[in-house]
Amino acid sequence: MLDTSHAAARAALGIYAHSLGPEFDRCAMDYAAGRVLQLSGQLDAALDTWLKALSHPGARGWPVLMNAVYEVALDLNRASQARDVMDQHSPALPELHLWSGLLSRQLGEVDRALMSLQAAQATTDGDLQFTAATERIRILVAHGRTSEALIVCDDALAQAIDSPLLLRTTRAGLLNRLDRASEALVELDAILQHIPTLAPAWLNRGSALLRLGHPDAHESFQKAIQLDPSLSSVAAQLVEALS
Amino acid sequence: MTAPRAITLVNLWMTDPGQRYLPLGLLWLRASLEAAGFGVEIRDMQFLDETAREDPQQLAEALDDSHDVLGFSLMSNALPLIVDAVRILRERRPERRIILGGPGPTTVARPLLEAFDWLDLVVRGEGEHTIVELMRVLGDRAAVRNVHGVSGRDSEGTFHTRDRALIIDQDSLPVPRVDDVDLSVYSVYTTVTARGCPYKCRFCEIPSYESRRVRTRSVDAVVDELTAVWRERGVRSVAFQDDIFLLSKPRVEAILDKLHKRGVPIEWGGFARAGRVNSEWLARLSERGMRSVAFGVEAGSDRLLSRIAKGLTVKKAMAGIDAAIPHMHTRCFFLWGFADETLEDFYGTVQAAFHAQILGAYPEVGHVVPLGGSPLFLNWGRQPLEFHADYPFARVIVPPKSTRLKEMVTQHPRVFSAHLAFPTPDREAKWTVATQAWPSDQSPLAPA
Repeated sequence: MLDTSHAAARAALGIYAHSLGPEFDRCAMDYAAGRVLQLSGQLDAALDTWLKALSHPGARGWPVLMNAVYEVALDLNRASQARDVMDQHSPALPELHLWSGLLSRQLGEVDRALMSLQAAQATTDGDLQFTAATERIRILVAHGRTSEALIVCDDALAQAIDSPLLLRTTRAGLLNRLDRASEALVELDAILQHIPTLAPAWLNRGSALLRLGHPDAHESFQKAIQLDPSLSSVAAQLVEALS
Repeated sequence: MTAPRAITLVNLWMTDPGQRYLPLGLLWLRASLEAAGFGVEIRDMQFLDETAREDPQQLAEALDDSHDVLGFSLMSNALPLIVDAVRILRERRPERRIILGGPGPTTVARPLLEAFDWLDLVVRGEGEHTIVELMRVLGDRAAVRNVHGVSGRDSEGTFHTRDRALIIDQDSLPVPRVDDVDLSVYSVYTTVTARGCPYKCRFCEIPSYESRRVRTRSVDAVVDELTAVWRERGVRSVAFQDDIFLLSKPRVEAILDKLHKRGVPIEWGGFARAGRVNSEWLARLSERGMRSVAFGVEAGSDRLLSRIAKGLTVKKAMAGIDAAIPHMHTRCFFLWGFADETLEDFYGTVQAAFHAQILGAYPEVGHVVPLGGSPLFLNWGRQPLEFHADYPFARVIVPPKSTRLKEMVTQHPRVFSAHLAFPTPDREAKWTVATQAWPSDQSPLAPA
């Protein structure tokens, strides 16, 4: 049955391509072809098809295509190969720096990941730029390089990046980690004046107050959990760690 | 029974979750009935909560205080529910007259009346003239048998009168009023400017209900209606519910020209044939307020498209979608589960849906259903249709939940064919892929 399905999927791709003819955007067609191969259980062939799609002049760097490559490459232990292909095409398609950086992070290659993400932050905009900056920060924090993370954060804010309030919330979290809770508190109160429903800001505020030994910390944690119940375990961990 | 003076009309258009549409069919019926001097109450059951809408008992109870004549307008999706609700309604008030109408009962009127002896009247096809005549003679058994477009049952048995002639002059119909309708509770203002579809798609039953002859309202009538709701009701966007609104370029342009001259800058959307549009026209329409388009593509295989007489090729379909995407919100519908659909055809459809998605369209993939008036069903003489309780991909066909309704459906496949499925080769393999590709029937695929 599986063989039948594989053969049918491959036959369908040929028929579809023939039906459309050469004038259609190959990258879009190849993305869809890869999905057919993936759904019929031919993951290696799907990844090959998507990697090939990255080389098309018409490739627009659709996040959905990049995500597909990222996920399947990791599943198949072909992250290194996928990352190399992405790097090869990133001069033409700057957003590939982002996914290349994410793959390098998964491969444990921290410096290469940071370099790719930095390139992504410098060459993209909107969500991708924001993601690149926050991923850089996350990696640096995970490796105890909080001061560098703060510099990245400040640079990103200076870039007038999208979602500055979220980034400022992250910055306040970094200040907390650097034992600069008073500065964090000022930042967070300013943020919450703009968006009183920003749950992570309440969480970081609770953390700042706790570090400062303020009795109101609990209320901020409660507010964060009320706005976003998924934060309850993080809040509990923070209270436990800081108490 | 003396001739009644009033009727309760019930809308049972079960739509997408969260979407509510004006009960257009009933508003047209009401206009004709009121013009003839009858009182009309409309009950829109879209606003009952979901549980009540799917429970015949609760539905019947909600209609307990209706007029002595009840008219239901429904599509095939609500048929099992309503047949059972009518049974309960008749038990509670045997003297009540209940009339079914709309596409759902029209196409299966004969087997419907044969199967369920508590049903007594079905209005087939366009109902405006039929319902008025029927109301005038409802107390006179012999006269009812002379009303064209009616199937029914009386003391002498079941009967089916001649089909009613199509209403060619759509402007001759009284125009629906919406002065008492709270438009804000509906997703969008909807209207119909033409009835009928000239195409021969074999899975579709519209031609058997509305005919292939397209009958249009005049440009002036359409523009007058939209001008009135724009000025008096603050309507700013309109969904044209014609089977294919972008059918006649000169007519669409004439409507838009006239709206422009009247200073009525509506935003609008409608259905189109992917093979009949191009980028230039869509760009121009976009400049003139067109914000969304919907295409029925159905399949990603030329072989299958030919088998279902779609009159479209994959290339034309994708070209139409590609042309629309830069200019407007683009939806496209696909179907799987045809009896003649090979696994290759199916994968072609999967590829086309994902292709459309990454280009920026919103594909919606559903399972084809054997609609009672469709050529695919009418010419079906082979194996029995199949019942699949976990029917995950027929978006607007709600699988019957109660054992009683399930039994009704399986015991009467000719009546409830829309709740069944054609046998399709490699169903299991297709099903597995479809559940992975489109994990929820509730939400269309998101755009890339």
